[in-house]
Amino acid sequence: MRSLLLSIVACVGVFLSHGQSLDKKVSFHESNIAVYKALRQIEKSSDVSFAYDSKALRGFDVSADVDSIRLNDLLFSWLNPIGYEAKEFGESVVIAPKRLEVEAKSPTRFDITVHGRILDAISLEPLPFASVAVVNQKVGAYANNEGYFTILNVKADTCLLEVSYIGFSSERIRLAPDENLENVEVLLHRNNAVLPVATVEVVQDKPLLPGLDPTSSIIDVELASTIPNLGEPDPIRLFQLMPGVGGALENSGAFHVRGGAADENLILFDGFTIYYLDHFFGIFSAINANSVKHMQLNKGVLDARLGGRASSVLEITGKQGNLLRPSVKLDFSPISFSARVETPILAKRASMMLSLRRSFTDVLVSPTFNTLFTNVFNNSISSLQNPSNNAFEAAPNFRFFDFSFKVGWESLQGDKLSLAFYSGNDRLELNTSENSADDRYVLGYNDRSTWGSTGVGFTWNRQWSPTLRSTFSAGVSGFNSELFGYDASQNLLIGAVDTLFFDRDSEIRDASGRFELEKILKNHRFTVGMNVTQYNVANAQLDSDGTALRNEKSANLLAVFGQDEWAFSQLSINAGGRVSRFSNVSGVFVEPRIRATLPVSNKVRFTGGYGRNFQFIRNVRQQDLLLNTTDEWRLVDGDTLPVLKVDQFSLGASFSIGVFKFAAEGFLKFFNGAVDDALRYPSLAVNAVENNILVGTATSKGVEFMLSKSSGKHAGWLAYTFSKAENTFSELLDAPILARYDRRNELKLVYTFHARKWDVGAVFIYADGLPYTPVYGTYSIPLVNGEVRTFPAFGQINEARLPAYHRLDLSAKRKWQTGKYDLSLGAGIFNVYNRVNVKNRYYYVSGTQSDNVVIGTRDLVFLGVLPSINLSLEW
Amino acid sequence: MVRCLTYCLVFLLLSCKGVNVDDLAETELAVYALIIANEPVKNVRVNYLTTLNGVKTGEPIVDANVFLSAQGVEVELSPDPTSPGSYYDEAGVLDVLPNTTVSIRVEYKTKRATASAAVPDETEIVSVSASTIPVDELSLGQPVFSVLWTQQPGFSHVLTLDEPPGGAVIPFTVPSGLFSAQYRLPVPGQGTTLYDVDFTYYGIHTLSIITIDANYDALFFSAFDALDQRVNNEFDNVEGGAGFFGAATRSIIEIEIIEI
Repeated sequence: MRSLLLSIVACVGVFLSHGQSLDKKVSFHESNIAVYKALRQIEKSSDVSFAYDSKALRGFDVSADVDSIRLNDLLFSWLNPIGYEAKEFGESVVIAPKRLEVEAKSPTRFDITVHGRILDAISLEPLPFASVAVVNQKVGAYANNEGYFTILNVKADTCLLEVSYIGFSSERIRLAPDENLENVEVLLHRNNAVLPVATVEVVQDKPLLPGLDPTSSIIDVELASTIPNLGEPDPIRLFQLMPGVGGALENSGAFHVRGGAADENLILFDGFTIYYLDHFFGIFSAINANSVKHMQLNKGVLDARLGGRASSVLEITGKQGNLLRPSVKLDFSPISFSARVETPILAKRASMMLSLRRSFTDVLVSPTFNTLFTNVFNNSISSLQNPSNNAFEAAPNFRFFDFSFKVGWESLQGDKLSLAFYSGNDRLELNTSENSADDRYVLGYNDRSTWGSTGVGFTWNRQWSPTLRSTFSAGVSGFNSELFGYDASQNLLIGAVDTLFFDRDSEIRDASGRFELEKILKNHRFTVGMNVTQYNVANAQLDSDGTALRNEKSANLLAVFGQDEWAFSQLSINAGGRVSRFSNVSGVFVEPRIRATLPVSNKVRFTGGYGRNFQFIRNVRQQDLLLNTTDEWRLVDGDTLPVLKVDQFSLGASFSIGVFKFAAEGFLKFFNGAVDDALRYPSLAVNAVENNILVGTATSKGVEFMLSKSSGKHAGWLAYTFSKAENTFSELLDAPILARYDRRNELKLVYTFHARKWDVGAVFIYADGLPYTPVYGTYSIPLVNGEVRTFPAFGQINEARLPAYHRLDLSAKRKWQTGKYDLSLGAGIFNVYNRVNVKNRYYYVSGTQSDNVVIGTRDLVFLGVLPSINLSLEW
Repeated sequence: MVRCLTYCLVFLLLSCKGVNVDDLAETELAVYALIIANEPVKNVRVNYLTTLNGVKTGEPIVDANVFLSAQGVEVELSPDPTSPGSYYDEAGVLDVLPNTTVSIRVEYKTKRATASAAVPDETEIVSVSASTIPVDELSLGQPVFSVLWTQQPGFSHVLTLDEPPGGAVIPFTVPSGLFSAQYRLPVPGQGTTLYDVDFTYYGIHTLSIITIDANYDALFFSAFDALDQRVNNEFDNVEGGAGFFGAATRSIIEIEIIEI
């Protein structure tokens, strides 16, 4: 194991290569051939990779009869006349419309404000949170979620702007004295040679930006199809490869950020909340990568505008649709089919996107589905004593689907309206039957589970002026989980049938409205706003013994917030706070937040911050077929379920050396009002804890490191987190115990290789095993009447750790371009060396007290080696 | 820098080591004792755990140092040569009184297990029905004896019924099984009723009302969850080991069953 780790860590060294493609000598002998075909020929004959929009280049023909000419010269002769140019990024050559470089004339305006918008050149969709920096001047800004940016205090109207966005080629734009500086439009082109993932602190090698400074990770969803996956590109698992985010749970829905529980992450999708994030018991994300434009995970000290959860906020911006031309994308995997359609509705003003994904697992049992379902079945459904069963004897009927739709319209006056809809759910049915031991009865067991989320969101953005912007959004969303069991016993002698059933239903619904106003003044960016949310939760139980319970509760949350991002000299400070009132609990909740960034050079900077978060809704129980529980959300009441308060301190530094960027950040978090599910602690007697909910305090502390290389053929990152998360639940123990999901060491290595028609990806994860409560053995006690009984000897709660988790995934993707069609075929192997990773360890009793009691163990394991394949077609 | 980082990472990865539980069963102590006030201290048991899956049975430990203290007096118990793993107060000097606290300390090699228990007050019998009970066919299934006592908060009551050895069998009753093995499950209340079917023999029976820490109930009720076969254990009160250490008082009532 040690040598394996060393070898993999040492792979970082291969990132050093850097090419000079445009200087290569090439030969070409063709006449009147389409540009994109000519580029393909050059790709085949020399080791050069081009990135271009084949549709945009259609209609242009070129000719040449040359030998050993510099590629740059050949391309210039072809592209210059048609208004395009070639630029080199790492080993890729990007062909893009030429930006006319305005010569630096004498400036006419000084100390100016520049306002504009950053858009995807292919679809004209805005690029949220793209960055703009003024070269050689330490000012800049991040675009907002609609791609608008405003930079104050630009020295003159001839300055050079550098515009960057994750996964896209950077652009340098010279301002011109006669240019309208209130409406600068920047088009960026996708560049696959740039690693489309970043922690903002890490990748900044341009002048450090004052103003908006998100302590967050931004991910380009395109990367999800490059790195290894289980047949479905999974954007959520990308975040799990970042430092500070738990990545060894093989669960797309349950990510733990800096020691927080999974329900402490708020998932915002175009203005509404998604309460359940995965399909197929965590194997896939419920977020279809095809429907997403932008994802940003805020895990540090949050902006004041963000709140409601204690650990992080994941903001997902859905694709709005191509504003220039219709496009279709189809994806096939061994278990599902996915389609996305984008089309303009009004030229450059309105567009829509529709995406649908559905598994065909209820129709066709592929080997991939067989393996995945068997793993789920044996972990969650099969009885504890059986280490493995033939899952398909239970005749599983399983399927999942998700659907998203978004339509957007933009006025000439700066209004941007969008309406988004999302729905995703899963359904599982299991039916088994068997004869009783005496063959007098046929016993039938039928279980049906359905769960999923739905949401609708409306957003209105208005840019009133370059320095004033407002956002209004409203949304409704909900989550429902139902578990229905129906058992029948048929007497074969007389034909009578006895039945039993149980039904558990849990749901949460919300309706929310939000208004935000942003004003830029000199070195300040002020944001104020308010947020109102109405919550309704219901938990119902219906049993054949006549039990009929339904518990419904509702409450509303009102929050007002304000913050100022203030830049002076080198230092930038983001200070603000939220004030909340939750109708279920008396009092007002104040959340102060402050972050500071101090760059000491263009390469090095320090950050620090403090923030407090409150959380008023809690997921006290996760869906578990083994325990017959549904996901269960509850509203805090300040009594049996307390408000969660988290105070976080962070301190970090980042610097870059050549193509490498390095960042480190330490964090310390104090949780008051932590809860956990008592059913997860096997040493506790059932009903020993009121409502089976443990309440207490927690601490989490750690250090995150990230080393990345984001350009060149070889790219990737190494993320390492050293952390410790502890809970103190007095009902369990007075002393702190390790949190169930504590991982002391977690290392993640992501590697991508881009070569001509190939994308190759590799992921290696190492993590310490999860804590668990061991049973050392058994002992026997004589009772007062002389009987002897046998009992388990438990160790301290969570004192032991499961074996370390590690796995290696590999993938490769071949791309073809045929006419207007882009085709790619990807294959991957999950857990290449078939590591048996233990997910949980259970103990069970066999025998009877009057006979011979034996306590045995059973390990629930994660997935073993699993090949996958997927096919993608786009036009 | 990469090399430095590599060394740091490898060091950190190798520095974390959890508890290895595989061999703990063979070193962990299991301790059991039920000390009854005003009775000789005996049958204090010390042994190793049985390994999981029953691979290796827990051996009795015959050379541990076992100390029991009550009323400020600490006595080292002696191994019982007739019962390996059992210890007793050979000199009979320890006087455990009701309404006090009794503690145990077991030392063996590097292990040290401790526990303490509250000794309940003597159970006060409030009322007893006639203790000489004639039975015949006509009383079949009828209540024949009742007793009430004073309930002590935090304590349960376990009843045992010792039947006369070699007594004549009552010919017309069918034992109900409620007093199976002359033992009744812990009684949370403050009284109980016996039926003629609880008795198998004619003669003098000894009914013991043992007042004991309520945790003792868990020995019977929470050993396993029969439905999902998950294990739990809430009565274990031994620090540094496993097991149960309890204290009790015993009240005795004699009942005579006679022929009509």
